[in-house]
Amino acid sequence: MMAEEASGFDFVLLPRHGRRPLGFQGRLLARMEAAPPDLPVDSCVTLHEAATGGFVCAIRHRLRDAAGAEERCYALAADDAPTLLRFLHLHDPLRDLPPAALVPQAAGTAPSRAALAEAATIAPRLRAVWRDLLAASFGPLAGPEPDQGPTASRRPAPEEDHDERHQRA
Amino acid sequence: MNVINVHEPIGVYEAYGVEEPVSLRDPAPSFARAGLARSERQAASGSFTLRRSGARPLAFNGRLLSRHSGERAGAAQWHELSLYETEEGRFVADIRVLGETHGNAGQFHVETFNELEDALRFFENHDARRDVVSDIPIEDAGLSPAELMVHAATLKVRVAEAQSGYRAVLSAFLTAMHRH
Repeated sequence: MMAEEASGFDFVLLPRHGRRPLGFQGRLLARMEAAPPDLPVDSCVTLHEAATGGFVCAIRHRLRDAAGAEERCYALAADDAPTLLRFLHLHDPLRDLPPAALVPQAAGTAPSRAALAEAATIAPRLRAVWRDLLAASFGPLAGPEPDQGPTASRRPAPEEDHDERHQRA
Repeated sequence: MNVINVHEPIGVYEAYGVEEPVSLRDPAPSFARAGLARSERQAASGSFTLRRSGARPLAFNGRLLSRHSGERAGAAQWHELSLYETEEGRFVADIRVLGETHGNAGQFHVETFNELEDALRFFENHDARRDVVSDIPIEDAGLSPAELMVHAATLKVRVAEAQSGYRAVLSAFLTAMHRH
């Protein structure tokens, strides 16, 4: 344990949606974050090296306006990079988001038509930001593209503003 | 100091499906982490009486080990998870389903276990989809097929939201157990 600490390894605890957190001795290798100011969700990807070998990748989506910093967190440990890249590229940032993340609702009132129209544009933009974050950080996924389904909402928005992405290593 | 070690270690299990046994008393490695909102960890002993759906209240002496609430502004329904240890060394798991749609009724799932591992699995295996109460006026003969379809779609969204919301609360609840 002392040698691990001297090497920069420390206990890391990564929350996971609906599951026990992943705990291990590790050290942070990289951190990438997308926080577009006009979208309600911040996304963060961290890559850790495990003291026992292998790597752990964590995804954290934070609902910016939700009281109490509501989050959706995921993590995966793997020995090889392709497994982690598949984990990232197959991840859908909208999968577990509550509807309120897209359609903020006042208590007791139904969302207006304008609010619903605005919400309809958020989903494809969130997915586009996510894909751009991965592409800028890790490059395109090798091999066949993940099945993104038949809906146009899964397509990247062509007008995505790349300047909104903030990355830190 | 009591540390609840509930995390899954890496490298000894498949990515999904295998949980490691846990211990309340085995020390976990120390770490510093920002506190989670709506979480609390208490060690104060006292008497507790927990409301149970369909059963008499459960009363015991013990201490609250951890609690997390998924309540947020505008939410129609949320879960609140609590874990207690009794003076006899047993564990009480409490899942409360609260929200506007339930009024003062709510749903209260409470179970007692001899082992911490079993209590944690009670939380992990809880099916939050069953906590959603249908509000479709199915007995209304005047309900048109179009209205019925909209009600059904709304109910489907509520079920998915309940499941996802519960998983988020569970994630924060289990992670917060490491705080001390």
